[in-house]
This record gives sequence, structure tokens and C-alpha cells, in this order.
Amino acid sequence: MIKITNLEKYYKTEEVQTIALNKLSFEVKEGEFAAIMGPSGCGKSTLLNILGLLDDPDGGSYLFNGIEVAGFNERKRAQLRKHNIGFVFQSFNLIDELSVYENVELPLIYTGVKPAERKERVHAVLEKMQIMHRRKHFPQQLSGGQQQRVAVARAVVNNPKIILADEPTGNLDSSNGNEVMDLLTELNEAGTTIIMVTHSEHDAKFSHRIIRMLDGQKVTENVLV
Amino acid sequence: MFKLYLKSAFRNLWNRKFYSFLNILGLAVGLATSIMLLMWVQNEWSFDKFHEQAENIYRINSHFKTETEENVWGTAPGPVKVYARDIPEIKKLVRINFASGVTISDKASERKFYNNKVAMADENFFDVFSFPFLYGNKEEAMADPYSVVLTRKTAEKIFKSDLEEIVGKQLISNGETFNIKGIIQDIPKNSTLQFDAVIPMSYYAAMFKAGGGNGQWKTIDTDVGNYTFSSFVELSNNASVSNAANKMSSKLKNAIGDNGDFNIFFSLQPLKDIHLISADGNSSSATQVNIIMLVVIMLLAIASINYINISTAQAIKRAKEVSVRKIIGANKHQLFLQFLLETTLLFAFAIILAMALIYLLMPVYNFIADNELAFSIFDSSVWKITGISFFATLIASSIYPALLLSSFKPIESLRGRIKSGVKSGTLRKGLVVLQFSMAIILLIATLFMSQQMEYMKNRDLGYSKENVVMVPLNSEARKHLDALKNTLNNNDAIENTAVTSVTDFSDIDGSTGDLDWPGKPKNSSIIITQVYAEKDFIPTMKIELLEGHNFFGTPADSSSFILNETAVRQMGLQKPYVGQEISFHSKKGKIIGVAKDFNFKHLREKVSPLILFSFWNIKNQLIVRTKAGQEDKAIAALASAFEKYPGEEPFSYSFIDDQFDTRYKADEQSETLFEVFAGIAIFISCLGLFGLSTYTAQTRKKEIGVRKVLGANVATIVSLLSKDFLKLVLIAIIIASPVAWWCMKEWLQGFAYRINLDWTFFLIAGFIAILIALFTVSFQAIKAAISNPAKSLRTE
Repeated sequence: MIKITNLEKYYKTEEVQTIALNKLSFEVKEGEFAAIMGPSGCGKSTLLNILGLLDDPDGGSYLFNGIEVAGFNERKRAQLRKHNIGFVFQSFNLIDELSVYENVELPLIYTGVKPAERKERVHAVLEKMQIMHRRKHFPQQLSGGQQQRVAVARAVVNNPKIILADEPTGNLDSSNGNEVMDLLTELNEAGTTIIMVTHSEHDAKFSHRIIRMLDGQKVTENVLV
Repeated sequence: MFKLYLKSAFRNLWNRKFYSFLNILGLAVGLATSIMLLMWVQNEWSFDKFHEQAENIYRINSHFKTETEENVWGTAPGPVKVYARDIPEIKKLVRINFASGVTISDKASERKFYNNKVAMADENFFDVFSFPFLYGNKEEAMADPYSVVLTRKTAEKIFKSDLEEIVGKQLISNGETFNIKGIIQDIPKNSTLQFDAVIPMSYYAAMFKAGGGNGQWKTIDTDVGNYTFSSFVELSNNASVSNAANKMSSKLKNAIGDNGDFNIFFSLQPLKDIHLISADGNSSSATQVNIIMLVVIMLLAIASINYINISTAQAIKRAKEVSVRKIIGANKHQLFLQFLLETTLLFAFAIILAMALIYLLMPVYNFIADNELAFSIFDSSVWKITGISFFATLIASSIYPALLLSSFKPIESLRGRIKSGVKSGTLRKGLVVLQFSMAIILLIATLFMSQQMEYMKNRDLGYSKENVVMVPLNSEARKHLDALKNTLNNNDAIENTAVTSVTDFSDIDGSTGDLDWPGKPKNSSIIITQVYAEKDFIPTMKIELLEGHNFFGTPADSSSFILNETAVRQMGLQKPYVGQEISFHSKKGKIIGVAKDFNFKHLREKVSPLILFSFWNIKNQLIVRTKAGQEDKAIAALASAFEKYPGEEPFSYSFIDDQFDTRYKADEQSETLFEVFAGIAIFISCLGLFGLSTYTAQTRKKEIGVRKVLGANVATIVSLLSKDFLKLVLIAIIIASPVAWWCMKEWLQGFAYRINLDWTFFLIAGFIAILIALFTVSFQAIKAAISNPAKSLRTE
């Protein structure tokens, strides 16, 4: 599903060049649940952004579903992204001006799904995430756990092949955190590939494989399953 | 999709109530003012265009040219009607002779109506100009010399009956009976030709003939000595305008032969230009319209800048939303549309508020501008103007913020890393400078205008215009002038009385080139203003004599002349002037005195040559100088003295002071309007500055908290937050001053008598701008400075 080889990313300021990713290589197979761990500043988020086609690598190769996407421009990346990738963030990143229902509906609107089908799919996913009763509420009226459930609903409503989660439980208490992890596990069991960046060893245990990083490089890989 | 865009746009506006309010208010005020001004501009541009043949109608202007100067009149002599017959370019020619102050009475009831303006016009008047008939028809209306056509308003004023019954009734004027042949619609306000009634030229022609004509010329069709007719030609399509004028000129030359002193010729001026450009080419009215257009553009620019500034400042807060939308699949195009829709929605609110403002303020505006613009939502031109202002401002304001927001890189803005330009606001700063520069230019212009007005009001005119009353003389009073003056002069409240030809001291009319003197160069002459004056004129008006003496009140006066300084200078006479011989209207005589120049025209114009004579009686007016503070008593005395000599019209009087006020009314109105617009421009600019300073105070909350924890006091924080904005205002002052200097220099050129370009005005304007800006900015700065640091640090 995803294969990166010698991936490189630099950040330049006027005087210093920082290496964020240093010839990083690994592969994630379809249906896998991989966790990426490492201390702050090791390049986890940079990696996730490149994997999510939000950012461009400075070197190396990135095969997404067998297609080389390393040189893609913004427009092509956006096209690929909206049909294949769902995102879950630590800070939920829901749009405050939109209700729960509208937040979840938004990706379908952007991909041009017809209204009737939209309604059906949003309802289905809200039921599945058990937040149907909250569909008319606005994000600020929900608890953190509920907000993250909406974010997950929004990430999966387009049936993406892969979900990228950036510390999805970072802002949640343990019981809400566990609920979200259970959700991700369910999705994975239903066939969705998941790559999750996390600081939490507890959360990492939900995955099949942990990739540990330091200074932009992969240091170890533990297979859990 | 559209529905969701609209929903989120609504919620966005609602969630940012404060900024939405600032934006909507600024835009609404800007739009309302601009729309009102544009309606005025449109009205000015629409003059005389309602005539069906407007494109083909021209006015005949008469030029009198010597080597040194040229005078142009917007009138022509009677024979042009004859000349036009042989000129193929000219389809029709119509002459109009206006008579104002005409008394008309209803023959049946004998009720009198004063002060009517009557147009005596050639029979084809209604063929050339489009003044539609309500009753009667244009074919028969002008056939008989004793016909009259009334405007609807005049007809309703005189007769209280139904309009259709009026045609066929009779009126009396000037002792003659006229038959009402038609009623036309009221003259549109945007018509240069304004009148209450029309009677055929054949009536005037007959009267002229019966009165013995004008010297050698016995009919109006041969009289080349009187340039009294406003004359208009309708040219055939595609006819050459200059050919037609040249042919007319050469026919005039054939008729008058070689006139050594002047070269006299005609030119044709398009009808649609005559409202804004006078016959002599003075286009100051057209310039004023253009200045107002410029003010409109400035106001709209200032309002747009507010929107751009507030929305780009907000962009940083909205970066997260944009990123999320992008990440979940929105493309740039979709985001651009979303933001455009949001702006349009905000503008829709603004325009609704603007319409309400216009509706409420139109009466106030009409009062200040002495105008009668109607704001009707059923008027298509109102919609056109509103639409143009709305879309121009919308496009100017929306594109940049929408482009900026939609072009954020998702991942960077999600992390709060936004293009440094957006954050530091280089563009916003530039726009604030631009905005304030425009406001300061308007402010400086206002200061200069009001000073120039003050100067004109208080300038020493060369005579004393205070406490002087003018009373028109009727024929009875003229017969008993000595008795009348005696009665009045014996009254305690009256200082002096005099008889003169002058009817309006703020604009003395009547000039001639018929002046000769020994040593007058060939092919040159001067145009001199002629004033009938008796011996009391100079003392009553308190005009200073530089040389010689006043008239004596004896028969010798008939061969005595008093000239002003400019006249003797332009004639090239040598000192001593007194005793030199001149000939005026072929009457030989001597100069007995030279009067110090006094202003007898609008102060835009330089003092021109003037002659005081007394051999030819033109006793139009009695001027009465009252003792200060005893005006009421003097007027009562005048009224009772005139009771003995009743005329056609009732007793009336006017103060010279008031004549001046009327003359300068237009200038004063544009000054007042400018003050209002400068005020509005500054107000809108301040709304923007207020928004920006609020935003800055909010984004720097944490910094302020840290500084306070470290020991900064309120004053240092206020100055920290205010100084950046004041810097911008200072730059604006530096940019605005030279521009304003140039504009004011040009504007003052239009006044022969004017104030200097005093640099203190620039200082005052700058000071005001800084003060207002400081007040606006410090409000938020102080609020931020006194807030509890613990609170602001905790929220971070």
C-alpha cells in the first residue's frame, strides 16, 4: 500500500538546515495498523504529512498504491488525497461554524457526491460512531471524546483506503482515549489501513507493528501481531 | 454545496460579530455616501439630454475678439434666424428671449401673479425642444402672436380649475390679452431652459417694430446691435459643426461690414455641454463634478480597504479552518468561491443598511446641497448606480482576501506558520497609509475651502455692503424721485439714498465696447461695464475716489464720466486722468474722477474696467444706506414712502449682504459637502483602524501579559501598541501633504482673489489626523494594558 525508500526532508532557515527525515525507508501493507513512535522532534509529524500528501519530500521515493507520488504537484496530490486518505488529528480540527452533521458531510461535498447519497452515508457513519443524537450540535458543545468521534467519522465517511492519525488520543482522558482506539481498531478490522503517530505506549499496543524513530531515522521495528 | 457555503458564511459573520459590524458599518456609510454623490453626478451629467434631438442641438455663442482679449456671450443677434435659412447644415433655428419678473393676471378674476419667467420663442420652439403637451398641440400653439403656453405648475398656480378647462382662457400681461393655447408638462429639473410660460416671438417682433426698433435697425431680423437671443440650431445628422458656424459668421460679417475694433464671430456649443461649461469655455462646474467623482472613488476605496484589512488580519485566525477544509478535500477553486460568497453576503447586509441610510439622509443631503434628488427604488438609474457601486466595491474588496485565504498551504497554516507578509501585514500597513492619505487630503482640502470662503466673505470689496437695502423702482416712483428721496433722507434711520442701474452688486451686468478715446490703438478695444450713477451713488456706496471729484448733480454731469483704476490702466491713459476727453456710446465728455477698484463680480473674477455715467437714465433701483441697527425702522419708512407710488408689483426690497450670500451659496454648499465627506472618510478610516488595533491587541495578548508580569506599566504598553499605527499615519501625512498642496494650488487658481497656500493648514490637518488616530487606537491599547495578565497568560 505504502512504500517509502530513502525519504528525505530538510527544513531551511536563513542560517541552519535541519534534517527532519534522513533516508527513511519502510513499507506498510494494505490492511495493516502501524504505529510510529519517537521523542518530540524526531520527524514523526513530518513523515505523516508526507505520507498524507500534505507535504513534499526533498528526496527519495514514495510509492502510494504502486504509483510514484514524490514529484506530484499540489493539485495532483489533492486529487489523490481526497479519494484515498482520511485524517484524524490530536486537536480534532473540526470546523467550528459547522454542525456535527455538516462537518462529516463536508468531504462528500468536496468530492461531489450527490445529496441523497450524502445523507445516507453521513447517517450511516454517525450511527456507527454513536453520535447520531448529536448531529445538530456544534463542536464547542461536545466533549473531547465526542469531538474526536466526529473527527473519525469525518475521516472515514469517504471510505478512504488509509487513515492517518496524529496522536488521536493526545487531548483525551483515558476512557475517551480508549473509545477512540477501539473505533480505529474496528475500522482496521473492517479493512482500512491505519498509520498512527503516538507518544503513548498504551495506544501503540493496539497496532500490529511499531516503528520507532530518532533524528529522522528508523531505529527499530517491533512486530506485535 | 451552495447552501452549506451560505450557512457557514452566515455563521462566520455571526461568530465574528464585532468585526462584521465594523465592516458592515464602514461599507454601508461609504456606499450610502457614494451612491448619493453619484446620483448628484448623474443628475449633473443628465442635463438637457432628455430632448429627442439633444445630440443635434447646439447653442450659438458670440465671440468678441480683440488682440488682447476675448469675450464670449451665450446669446446671438436676431438676424441669425435669417442667416440660417441658406445654410444647408442647419435644419432649424430657434431664438428665445427671456423676460423675468413678469406679472401675469387671470383676465376673468383679475388675480395677479408676480415674478414669472416668460420665454418669447420662435414658432418652431416645440419642434426643436421636447417639452410634451398635456393639452393643446404644438402645431397651433405658436401660430398667433397673442398665444401663450403655460407649464402645468404655472397653470395650476393661476387657475384652481381642472387643467383641461384652462385651454381657451385668457391672461393679461403687459396690458395685452393672451389666449392660452396649451399646457405642457413641467420643465424637468435637469433642463437648462427654465420658464413658466412661452409666447411666440412674433409678439416680441411686433413690439420691437412698434417701439421704433434699435437705431438704424427696425426689425429684430435686421438688428445686429443687440445680442439678446439665446439661439439654438438643430443640425442635420452628420453635418459639420464648424462649417455651420463659419457660414453663420461670414453672413454676420457681410451684414456689419468691417468693424475695426472687434473681430465678431459665432461658435456652436453642444446643448448637452452648456450646463457644465459656460459660453466662454469656463469648465469649473465640470471640474467640480469630476472632483466629486474622485471623492466617490476615494470613499469607496477607503471602505474597501477596511474590508481587506480586517479580513486579511482575520485570515490568520481562519488559517486552521482553511487547512482542515483543504485536508479533507477542498480545492482552491471551491475555497475561493466560499470566501467570495461570504464577502457577498456581508456586502448584501451593507447595501441594505446603505439603502436605509440613504432613505433617511436624503432630505438632509438635499437640504445641504440645495438639491432635489429623489431616492426611489422604482427608479432604474438608482439601481444602476447602486449596482455599479456595489459590484465595483465588492470586486475590489473580495478578490485579494479570497485569494489569500484559499492559497494557504494546509500543513503550514495548521501549525500556525503563515507567510510572514500576512502576519506582519505589510500590505495592510500600506493600505492603511493609502487610506489615511486620502482622508488627510480631503481634510486639508476642507480647511483650505473654508478659509477661502471666510476670506471671500470678509474681503474688503472697495465699498461698504453692510446695511444697504435695494428697492426696485416702478414707473410711478421714477416720476417722483426727488420727493421720494427727500422723504427718506429726512428719516432718522436712513443715512443716504441713491438711484442706479445696478440690480445686483454681487454681479453687475451690462457691458459694452462702445468707448473711444484719443490715442486708442486701431484694432483694439476694451469691454467696459457700464453703471448709471447720480451724485449720491458714490457717497451712498462709500466708494473711494483716487483722483478728481464726484458728479455735481447739475446738467454738466451728462458729459462727465468716472472710470475705475483698471479702466484707465487698460486704456493706456497717462496721468493726470482728470480732464482727458473720452467718448462713450458716441457721447463726448471728460473724465472727472477715477474710483478705486471695487469688486463687482464673483471673487473668482478679477476687477474689470467700469464706467460711471449719468447722461442716460437707467433708474432701476433705489439704494438706501440705513443706520446700523435701525434697518427695521428704515424698511418701515421705505414701505410707507412707496405706498404713495404703487406700481404693478408690490413693494419689495433686498439687502446687498443677502445678494452676496446668494452669490456664494454654491461655493458654500460645496464647502459644507466637502466637510461632510472628509468627516465620513475619516470616520470610515477610523473604523478600519479600530478593527486593526483591536485585532493587534488580541493577537498580542500573551506578549502584553508577559510584559506586565515583567513589570511594564500601562503607559508603556499603550505606547507600544499605539506607536506602530501612529507611524503609519505620519507616513500618510507625508504622502498626502504634497498631493493636497498641488490640488489646492490648482483649485485656488480659480479665484482671482485668494488665500495663500499656508503651511500651517498642513500642520493642523496632520495634527487632527494624529489626534483622531491616537484616540481610535488607544481605546483598545488601554483596554489591553489594564487587562489582568494572569487571565491572558492562562488562555494561551
